[in-house]
Amino acid sequence: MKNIFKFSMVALLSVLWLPSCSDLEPEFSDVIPASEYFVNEDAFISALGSAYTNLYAICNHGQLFSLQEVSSDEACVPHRGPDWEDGGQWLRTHRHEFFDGEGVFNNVWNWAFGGISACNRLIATFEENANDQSDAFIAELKALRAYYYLVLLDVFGNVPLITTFDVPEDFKPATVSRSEIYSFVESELLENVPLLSTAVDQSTYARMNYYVGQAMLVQLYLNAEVYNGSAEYAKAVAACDEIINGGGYSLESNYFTNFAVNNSGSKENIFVIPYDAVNAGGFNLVQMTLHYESQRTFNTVDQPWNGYCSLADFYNSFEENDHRITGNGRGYGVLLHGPQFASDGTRLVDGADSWYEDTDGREVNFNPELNELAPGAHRDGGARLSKYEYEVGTQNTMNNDYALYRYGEILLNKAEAMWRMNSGSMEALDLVNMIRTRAGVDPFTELTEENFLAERGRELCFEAKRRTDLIRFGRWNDAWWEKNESEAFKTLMPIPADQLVLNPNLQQNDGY
Amino acid sequence: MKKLFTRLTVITVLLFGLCSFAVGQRTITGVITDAETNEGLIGANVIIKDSGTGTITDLDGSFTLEVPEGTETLVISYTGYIDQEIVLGADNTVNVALAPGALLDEVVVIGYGTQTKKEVTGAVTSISAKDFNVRNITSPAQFLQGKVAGLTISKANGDPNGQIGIRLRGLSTIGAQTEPLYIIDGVLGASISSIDPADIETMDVLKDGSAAAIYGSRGSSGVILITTKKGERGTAKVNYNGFISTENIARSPQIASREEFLSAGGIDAGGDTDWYDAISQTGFAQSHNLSLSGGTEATRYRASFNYRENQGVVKNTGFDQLNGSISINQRALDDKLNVSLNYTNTTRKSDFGFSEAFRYATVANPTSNIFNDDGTYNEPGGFDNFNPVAMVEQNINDGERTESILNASVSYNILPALKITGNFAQQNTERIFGEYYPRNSLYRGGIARQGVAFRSNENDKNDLYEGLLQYTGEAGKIEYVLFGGVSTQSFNFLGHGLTAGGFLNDLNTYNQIGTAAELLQGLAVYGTNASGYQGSYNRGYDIQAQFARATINVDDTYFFMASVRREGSDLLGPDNTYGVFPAASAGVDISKLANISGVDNLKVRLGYGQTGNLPGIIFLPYSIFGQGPQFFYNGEFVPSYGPINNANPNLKWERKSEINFGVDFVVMNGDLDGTLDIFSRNTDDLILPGQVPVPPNFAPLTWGNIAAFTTTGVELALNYKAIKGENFSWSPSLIFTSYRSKLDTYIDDRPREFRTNLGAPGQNITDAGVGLHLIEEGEVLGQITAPVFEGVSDDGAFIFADQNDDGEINADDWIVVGNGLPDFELSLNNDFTIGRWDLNLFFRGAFGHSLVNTYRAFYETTPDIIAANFIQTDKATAGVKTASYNSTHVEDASFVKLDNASLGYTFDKLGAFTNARVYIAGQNLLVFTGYTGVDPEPILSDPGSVDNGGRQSTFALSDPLAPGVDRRNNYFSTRTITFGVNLGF
Repeated sequence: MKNIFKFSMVALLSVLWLPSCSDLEPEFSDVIPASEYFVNEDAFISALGSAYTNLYAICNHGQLFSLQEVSSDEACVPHRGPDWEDGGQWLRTHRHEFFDGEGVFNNVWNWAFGGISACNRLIATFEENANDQSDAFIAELKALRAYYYLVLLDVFGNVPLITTFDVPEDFKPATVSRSEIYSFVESELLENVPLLSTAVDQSTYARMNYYVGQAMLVQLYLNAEVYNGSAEYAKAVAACDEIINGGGYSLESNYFTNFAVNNSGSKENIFVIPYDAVNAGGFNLVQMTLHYESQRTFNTVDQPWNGYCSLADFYNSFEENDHRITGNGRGYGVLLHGPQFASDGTRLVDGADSWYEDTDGREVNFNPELNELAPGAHRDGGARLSKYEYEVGTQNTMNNDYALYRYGEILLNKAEAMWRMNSGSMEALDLVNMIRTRAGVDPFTELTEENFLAERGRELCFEAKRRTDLIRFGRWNDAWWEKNESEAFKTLMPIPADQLVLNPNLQQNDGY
Repeated sequence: MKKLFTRLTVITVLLFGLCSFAVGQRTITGVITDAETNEGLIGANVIIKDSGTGTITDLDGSFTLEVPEGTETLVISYTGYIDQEIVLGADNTVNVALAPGALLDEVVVIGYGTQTKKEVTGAVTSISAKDFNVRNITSPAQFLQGKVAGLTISKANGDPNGQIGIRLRGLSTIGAQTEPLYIIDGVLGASISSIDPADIETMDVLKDGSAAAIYGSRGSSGVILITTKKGERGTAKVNYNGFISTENIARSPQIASREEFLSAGGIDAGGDTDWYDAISQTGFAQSHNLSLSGGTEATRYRASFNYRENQGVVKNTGFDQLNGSISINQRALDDKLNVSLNYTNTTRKSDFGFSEAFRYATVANPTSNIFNDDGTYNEPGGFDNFNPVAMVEQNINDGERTESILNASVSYNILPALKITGNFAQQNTERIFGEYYPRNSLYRGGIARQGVAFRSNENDKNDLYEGLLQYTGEAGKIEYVLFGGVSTQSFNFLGHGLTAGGFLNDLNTYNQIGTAAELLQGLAVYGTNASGYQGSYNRGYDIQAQFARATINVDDTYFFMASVRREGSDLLGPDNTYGVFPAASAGVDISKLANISGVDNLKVRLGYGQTGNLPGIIFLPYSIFGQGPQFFYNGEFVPSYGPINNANPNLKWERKSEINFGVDFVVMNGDLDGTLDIFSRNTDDLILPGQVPVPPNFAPLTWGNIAAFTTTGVELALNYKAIKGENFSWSPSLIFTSYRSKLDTYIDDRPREFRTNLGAPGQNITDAGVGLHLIEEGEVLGQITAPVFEGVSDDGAFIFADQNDDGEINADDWIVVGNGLPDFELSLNNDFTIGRWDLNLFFRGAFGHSLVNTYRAFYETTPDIIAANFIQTDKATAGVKTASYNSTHVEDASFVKLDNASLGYTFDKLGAFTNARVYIAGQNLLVFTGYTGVDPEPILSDPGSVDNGGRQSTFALSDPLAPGVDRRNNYFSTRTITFGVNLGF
């Protein structure tokens, strides 16, 4: 009896040991493992989306928009007393004194290669799991990948060329010359653009269609001399004509229709980032440029950061009645300037209770003549970047779709290509004057390097094009305002220091 | 106040209701004291000779025992003291002074068992209740501050709901769990906040690898074993301990006063406000602990009821905590069967408040007003600027946490020497959070979104099963214990949260979130975006282990221990699930081998052990698809999905190997004893996120086993009975700790890395490729870097030294200017007794560490027109108009504090009470330091900067590679005065 009891006691306690025998397999209760992702049609569409949503980062502070704009003569981030020093990077960027450790270079690199990696992965996936849509998706992804490479070609020039997803674990690709990247982008576009949809409607909005592909070719050929050492203006004109003759795009009668809060109906925007405060965040320009106190003007949810502004020379390049500076009835043009008012009509005062004050007084006045770049820039100094309409009550991320390619730009590009082939081209002059006429200013009688570059600046400001234009016009290294003449090699940005450490096969660009 | 009165009444009624328990024929009372110090001995055994029944003494050494008529002799015993037998006479009072005996017979908890101190071969420190830091504490960990060599505790200053940071022997890991493993009454991984501090009997700290290896993967950051108080056989006893305390801000940034502000050229806004005063209040705390305990030969029980209330120094911060616990132990079947049941439950309601208020009170113009003329809050606006009074008064940030541990243990002696044990424990933690920013609050979008509410629920649960087998044997002069076991523990975490704005009015705060207009408008979507957090989660992991240990005692002279634990977890890659963690140690009592004059005892120990560490994130080895931003497809937004991580299927244990050499000695006839430990340990395969190229990877960071570092250190503890008079005694004890960690290898091909951002406004330095810390292979951890101050330019900008003379100031010119970790830490405890008075003075210091004074780095400038308030110290540089972090902002923060002082009086007899003591204690009374910031305590890790009303990311781990950053959101340090009573029946 005693032994039976002892036995049952041991048996009972042994039961407690049993759970120790379960397996150690993780349970994916709130995540989807990669192996179980592609189970239905919706999964393919959502997967395609991840290559596009990468674009949303472009207009974040510290990304491509910041690099293209702040390094040019149309925008800067002044050092406003204690604010915006941020290690001096934005001063160095504007003055072309940057070095390879600046965060913005690494951001743009990781962003572009992140997009390329997503495209490579999805191309491989769709090739493996073919369905009705997969061929169309693959052509679209190759075009999108070409866009990321086009940005790299423009910014860094010499970068590695990675076109497959299945690479060894210790893959350290070597730098490929700018000219090879050029050839790759060209051949990818020529091969895949004809396969893209020619529809210009909701089905291709904010996606790669035939005309977006042509717009990329326009950029590639217009800058071919810079990118590849030999001009391709005739090809640029041909690509422009594909868009002009077939796309059904046209100039909006009001320039600002393209930049309105609800601009998805614009007949002029060819390729946009479909920013949306709730669904597709990332367009933070409202925060980046507006004054802290502008919160009371536009009733913004968050207090703006009072950073980016424009330069006096750029402001002064506008004629007084230019719709683009007057706003054409919108209330403000591409540059928000002058005395500022709250939404109730009262004058904006910096620090209503004097917690802050500038030497030019407490009233907020966006004076286009900024007193200095650093260190004591006035808090309300400099005209603000207001091309994109500010929605009253806006979140810190805006609803306006951001145009990466626009019909107006295509017209100017065609004009420029023709003008570069024949400086007396009347068609070129007419195209530029279409843009000027819409802006309500007198037509040019002739095109010069000076007036053409200035017109491009006025029309395309804050569309992240200015750096590329300045380089093509040979003006990038010039001195302006608080920037000295810079070395010629700075037309290419340095390969980020972090990447050089991670991949010893990368080669730094000349001069750095 | 009425609430307080009601509570006190209830407690008083309970107290007197329960004390009618004890009725007897003859009641013997008395006090058992230490013969040398006259201090009461807690927990001494008072047994009726040959009967086996008796009681134990209380907090002050008092006891009450009912004895049958005819009882002749009582046996008084206490671990570490010589037993005494007392023959009872007519007197019902028996006061006994016990002489200290073998200190080395003290019982030490070593995990899955106990040893006497003399047998211990690892580095283990045991602290019992009588040595705890008695004061107004918010976490039991604070009991140990300055009491254990090698243990560093960084408390959250005066924040009643703040986290306590604990480091044993410095940093043992970086990307994984940096806090020690807590084991409460055998329950692994228990939450230290689930029990009330008043219920703790002892805390044992396993410091070295040889001691901790029995806990395998979770022993790397040290192990703290907590034993709660249990019932003892004898008469039922009732104890009451209580205190009230008040708290005030002890140190705050040195800002300009109204007069100084105006004379420096500040703008007069016409008002006069002390902003620190306006956001703060006198803190108040009270604690009441009531326990009853007792037992017979077969049954022992203890139940306790603990109430704590704490109101912080910032308005609308504090907590209300209720804890109940019960433990029952039953023996049966000729004592072969032993069943224990423990249950403890804690509910804490917290007002977390807004510690950012300190930062905004610092820069607020001292001449402006809190309120506008119309009675609304004056919000001057501006980036990173809020009215701090509005912040703390308008908004709600509260929560409730309920934690419980249910623990059942059954053991059975199959043979007298062979015991089998089964343990089951479940821990359950529920947390509820709520925030509300009303329609008139500028902070966090209250005005803009017409009221914003946040609500979330979280539930953490873990189940532990253990089966243990132990054999105790003897062979000649050899005594040995063989022990083995298996263990399974499953952890699960689930929760959900919702944020939405747009309310008709503020009446319902966060309680009726479904009425938010933003939900109707479709503005609240998955993930964390402009609208806030929406989502739910439910995930977990398992740990399985098998382990064995042998301890051998040869003739009380030679001691050996060897253990091994094999442990697996699904947090690791499928091919690296299991790890094996061995340990061995040995000790020899030299005083048994040779008679050294003046030396009572001398033991040397040597131990080696391996422990591990697990990643802090689930699913790292697996490729996971997650939802990203929405994709615009055919005219509507659809979700996008992509890989959210770089899977690392090869992820394995982080492994720590440690060698420890120790000496324990007792000299001068027991008057001086001490312990010296020297250790060296290597942590390899550190689990860290490392930069990787994209492609082939999806994301720029992958978690892997990618670094190694070495820590060496020395620890010394000395206890001295300096004066041992009848009416006066003084016992000082000294603790010294010093360690250094050196990075051996870092992420592949990346020998040098800046990290740690300063923040907004204007000092987002990491974007410019620099940071507050420099991580370098071959260098010590904790290096703080800065550009070196050289002067001020005519236009009021800093000029920095061009270290490499290349004409440019950039990352190459940032050099190491300090270290966030101290060179050494020292504490000195003094216990005095003067008759029935007792006095404790506890000094503590840390030396050689630096702190980045971020208040100064941001707010020291005096621009042309001064509108925001500024920091004024003798370290400021004159004439600077623009803020720019540099070497002048890194300050030496060595300090000595009078951390605790208490004065108590023990009554000989007080009415019906068998023991009674009253005391008054002060905390953080004096600070000697050159640091000009809030608190010179070392800051062990950095949560990053939070600016302009933003939120601390709940996913980012506090960075242990970035010690020594005194952030602007840190709570001010406080000074506390406590008055307390201990009563027993």
